[in-house]
Amino acid sequence: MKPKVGFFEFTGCAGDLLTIVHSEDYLLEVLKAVEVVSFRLASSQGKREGDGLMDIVFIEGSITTTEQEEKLKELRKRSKILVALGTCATFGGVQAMYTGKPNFSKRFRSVYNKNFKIVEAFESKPLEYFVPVDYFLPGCPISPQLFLFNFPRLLKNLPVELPTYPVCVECKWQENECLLLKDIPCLGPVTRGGCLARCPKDNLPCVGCFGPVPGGNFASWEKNLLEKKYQESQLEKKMRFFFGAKIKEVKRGK
Amino acid sequence: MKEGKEIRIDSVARVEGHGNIYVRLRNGKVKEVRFEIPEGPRLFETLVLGKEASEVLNIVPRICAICNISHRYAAIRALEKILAVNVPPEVTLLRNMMHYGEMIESHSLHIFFLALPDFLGYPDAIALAEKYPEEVGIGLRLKKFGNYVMEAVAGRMIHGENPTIGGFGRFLSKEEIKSIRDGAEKLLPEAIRTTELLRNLHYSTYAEEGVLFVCLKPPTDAYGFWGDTVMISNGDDRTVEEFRTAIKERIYPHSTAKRTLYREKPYLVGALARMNLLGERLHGAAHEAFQKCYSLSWIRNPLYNNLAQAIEIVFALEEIINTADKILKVKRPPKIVPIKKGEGKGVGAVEAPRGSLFHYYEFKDGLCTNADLIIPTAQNYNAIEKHLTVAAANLFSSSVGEEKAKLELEMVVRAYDPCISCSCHIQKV
Repeated sequence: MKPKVGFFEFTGCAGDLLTIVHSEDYLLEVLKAVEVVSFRLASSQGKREGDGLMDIVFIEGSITTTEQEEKLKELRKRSKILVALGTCATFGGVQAMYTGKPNFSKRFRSVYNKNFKIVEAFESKPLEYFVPVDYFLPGCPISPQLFLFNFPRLLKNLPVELPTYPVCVECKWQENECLLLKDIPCLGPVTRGGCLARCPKDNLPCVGCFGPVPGGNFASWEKNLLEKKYQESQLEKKMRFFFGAKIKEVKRGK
Repeated sequence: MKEGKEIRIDSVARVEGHGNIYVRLRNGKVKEVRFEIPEGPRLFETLVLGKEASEVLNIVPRICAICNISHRYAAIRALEKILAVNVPPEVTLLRNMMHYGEMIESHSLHIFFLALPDFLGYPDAIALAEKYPEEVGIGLRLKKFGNYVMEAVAGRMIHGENPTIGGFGRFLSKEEIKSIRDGAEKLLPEAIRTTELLRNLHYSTYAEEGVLFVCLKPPTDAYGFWGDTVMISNGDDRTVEEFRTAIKERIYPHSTAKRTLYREKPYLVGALARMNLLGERLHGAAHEAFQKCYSLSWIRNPLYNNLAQAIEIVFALEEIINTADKILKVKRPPKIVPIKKGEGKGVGAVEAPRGSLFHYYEFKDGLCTNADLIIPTAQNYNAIEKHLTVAAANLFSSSVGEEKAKLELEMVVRAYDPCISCSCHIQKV
């Protein structure tokens, strides 16, 4: 029997599921190897949400409403392995950049009026805030190579493997000129690799879209740039774009 | 049909994001039709506040993965207006090229993977591929090529950072431009075949109803995907600034997406609007396809949007070839124009695959102080509900049966190619 797999989406831009849909050379092969219980972006097959137990559940997007929170908890009960797909599911995404600042309801009211009732919304949070998550595949969006590498591993019950080094390592492999040496605030040293240093390769600073690298030396990165023309608030602002809910841990040097 | 019946289609499949269709019937008559959007809000306009111009560009493409390039391009156009940055013509050429790539990617995804399975009676492209491997193969090749262009020019197929204010982090080499050109040339016959394939499908008429059409007027007399004037099918021409203030944004209790009206009327944006307003401007194979396919039904039936998209794929491929030839004549890659700290406000507009997209920003001391993003699906929202209402009335007064009726209603929503996660981020701050 083929393993049952579901692809679900909460608050986000669909970029991670779309990365899978865009894996043209492999897409049909990948999806033929499993029984797709739900992939609403791509299929109206069967029940919209699927039912019963699933072997692997991939979830893109962060949680921003109570309804999503309930649905996530239900999906957790129905999944043997739950994988957070992308930076929104892993860290909360760009919509979590104000985490820890008490301005959500004010921001919400500036957008929707008081009588607005369709959703009960709150500050964007990653999946693991609500349920245990077995594996994370960060990236905004995820790397197609890392997905295609890890998908068969998951089918064989092997753990997800990700680069444990920062973007800088991949940048050095390509012999790019270091942007920090030009006083450009590149997040490469504190960001997890996996993108093959895509932005520095185009002479542009890393924006941190794969989230913090484990053991990244944030203090040193900050000190280096503070000695240049940057202020602490400017640097924190940049880190908040994608480090979202992890910002405090990163700053504490966890 | 029984008294007081309610029909719900939750989470319409094969669209981007979450949307529900709700129909309320009474004594067999349609009393209410709603297209609901319960998507989680992201409050994008509040995310860009306090950010530098280059940082705004890091954030706003993340509104939508499918049309990330259009968001980036619209933002660049607005920010360059505000900062008084003028770019050399070859930068505009390369930007157009990435934009054509996105049109091909988004349209082929929509035609082959989201819409075509309905017309041929399959739940998805995977099932469709068993019976129609050749057609799905064309879809995959077109989509792959669109992605390849986006990746080559923007740096990544989704959320690439290479297009910047003032130019590109890295301008493409001649070899890369040539390889894009070759790809477009090779695929052109398949794109033409796609228009034939779609021309011969059966288009049901349940949803037929005239609406206003709106698109951007290209700066030259050619067909194109950006401009500073808005064309409206009632004959009005408005500058993008005028249009932004003329359309009324409203909040409805059943949706996190805002919605717009022009002169109290719903209007339609996207490939179908562009073909209705600009189709006569096409040249070459795209014009031939347009002549063959176009009929007066196009001003009433949203299902023809798919065929309009297919013609735009032909146009985009031909334009990639023309643009490549022009870029290949450029001697030296252009330098990035440096950004100054600026103040002021401005609207940048482009045609996203699913319609006119407006980015408005205000800047003070080099930081963003206000933003207003008006995206295609919010503009189409009222037209979608109008066509759904007409379709529901026709379907439930006939004897087609509930299952068929539900599918037809879903097809109306899918024809618009809505981008629902986009639509939840429009508001005035």
